[in-house]
Amino acid sequence: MEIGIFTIGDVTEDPTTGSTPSEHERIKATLEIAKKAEEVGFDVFATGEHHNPPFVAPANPPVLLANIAARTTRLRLSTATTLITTNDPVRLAEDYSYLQHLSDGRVSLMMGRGNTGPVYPWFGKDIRQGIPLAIENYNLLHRLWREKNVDWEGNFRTPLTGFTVTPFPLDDVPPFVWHGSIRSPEIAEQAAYYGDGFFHNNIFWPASHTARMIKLYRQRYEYYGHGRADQAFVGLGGQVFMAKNSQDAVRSFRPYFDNAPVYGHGPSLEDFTAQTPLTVGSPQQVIERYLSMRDWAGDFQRLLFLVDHAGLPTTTVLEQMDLLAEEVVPVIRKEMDAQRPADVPDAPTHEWLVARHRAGQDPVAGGTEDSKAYQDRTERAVREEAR
Amino acid sequence: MHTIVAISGGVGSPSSSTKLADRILGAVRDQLQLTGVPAQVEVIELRPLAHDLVDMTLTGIASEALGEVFDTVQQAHGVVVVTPVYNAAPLGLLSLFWQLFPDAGLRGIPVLLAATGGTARHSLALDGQLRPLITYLKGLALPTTVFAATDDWGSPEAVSGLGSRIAVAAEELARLVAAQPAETRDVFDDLDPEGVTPFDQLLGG
Repeated sequence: MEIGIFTIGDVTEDPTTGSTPSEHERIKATLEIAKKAEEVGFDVFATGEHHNPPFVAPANPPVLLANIAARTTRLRLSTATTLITTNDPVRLAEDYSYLQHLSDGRVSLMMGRGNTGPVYPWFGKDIRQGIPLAIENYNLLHRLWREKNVDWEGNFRTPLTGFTVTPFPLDDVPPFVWHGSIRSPEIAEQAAYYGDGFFHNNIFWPASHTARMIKLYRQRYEYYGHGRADQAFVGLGGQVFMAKNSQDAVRSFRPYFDNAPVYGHGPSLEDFTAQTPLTVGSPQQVIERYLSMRDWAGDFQRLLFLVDHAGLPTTTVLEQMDLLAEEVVPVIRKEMDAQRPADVPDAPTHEWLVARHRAGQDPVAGGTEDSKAYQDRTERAVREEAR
Repeated sequence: MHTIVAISGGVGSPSSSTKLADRILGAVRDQLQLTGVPAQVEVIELRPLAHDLVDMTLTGIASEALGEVFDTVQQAHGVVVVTPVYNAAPLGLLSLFWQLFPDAGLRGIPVLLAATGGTARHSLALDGQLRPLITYLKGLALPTTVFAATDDWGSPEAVSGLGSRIAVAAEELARLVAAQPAETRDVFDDLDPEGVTPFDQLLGG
């Protein structure tokens, strides 16, 4: 089980004081938070990619992650998310490959399509092509990280002839990729097709919806022959605010909740905590809530908490991280690891991926000859031939 | 069993819009009974969902209660919409409900439009403003609408004609409901693992 934190780097006014950090302060606070994550024992730090105010998450996450890699030794680095739509997949392959070498294999990626429509034209892309861009770009990235002298032609960038990514991934094994989507079946299907991970950022969503997305991904993962449905790689988001005493947690968090950029001035704190994974209360309440996710999500390998947002001061964020790391993370990790069957994989590390690669067990995109998907494709081809 | 659902935007208690919804549903059920088609009817008032509708506007996420109402409407064989008219326009709460309703969620469903208002001069709010919304959602908005002004509730039938307007509209709806098989309509589920588009088709497409 891999437990970490993820940030979108929002620069938001603290509603209790009326003060807003400068971009510089927010960026430096992000570094402090990442260092703290390693110190207190989180497994992962993930950063968003942003191109517009009020966010200062980096436009190119490897810039921030390379800095954090240099300040840490154990912490795994990830994204939440990397825009697979508007970035050139060639540059993604190169930048993340370089970061993977710099950090000795501590990198994974989460692919996303972006939080705002205008980002597409800023990079010369068409928002109506969001899904096709995600599909074609990732398909190229997947090849670039596995093949040398690539010949390629597609719809969204100039063709490549004999192209080889420099540097090639560490030990010839690309970083693990999670595909993130809130409600697009195509992305769950994409994750399943490649045998990659699927991350549902459920922090604003009811469990009933998240469970359906995960079920879709798991069933299709099995269909493509990468393993049983329950062996697929599932990641979830989390959002909590804690105090030793639950009333204190509610009292402290309410002004931030009431004014938060996404849900502020909408549902009440009570309604929102009932409907989504947001838990405001004691560490014990958080533990119970998050352990119960296994009941509807199955064994999941990644859990990322949003802790620095909505104008919370950095000191509060660091306190929350202490509470999480001391009281919550060890219990969830221990319980989840104990309950996970031996033949269900843990969150992939570079070492695990290298071992899988050397054993010749890398997932085959679209499924090997033993898969139901392969059989269906063959039958379809025969039918079309006959016509 | 055929099901017909009325969405009432009335916020008063008692509400004249809900009263009109009850009368229309009764007339539709009676019409269906004459042709030997038993039907189950239900009125859903939006007042208890008012907060959920505003919350969904802000967060994009339907509450469980609102999600259930969306499902109920999409599974119905016929829908009746009754809105109060404020300042010559359908009440915002009712418009909001349809603006948040799943895309094309009324596909193939006959929809009877009705409204209440202080004066009959509000009656074009249905054809001018509500009809395009229902059509956009692929609902089959019926040609006959029912408008009940304050006067209509206190006048004899010979003067108001409300009962006969309801009868004409109810007959239109009943005919289109009876023409459908009695099974519960399926709600389209784009997350059904059996119905997903295979990835090689997405790649090749």
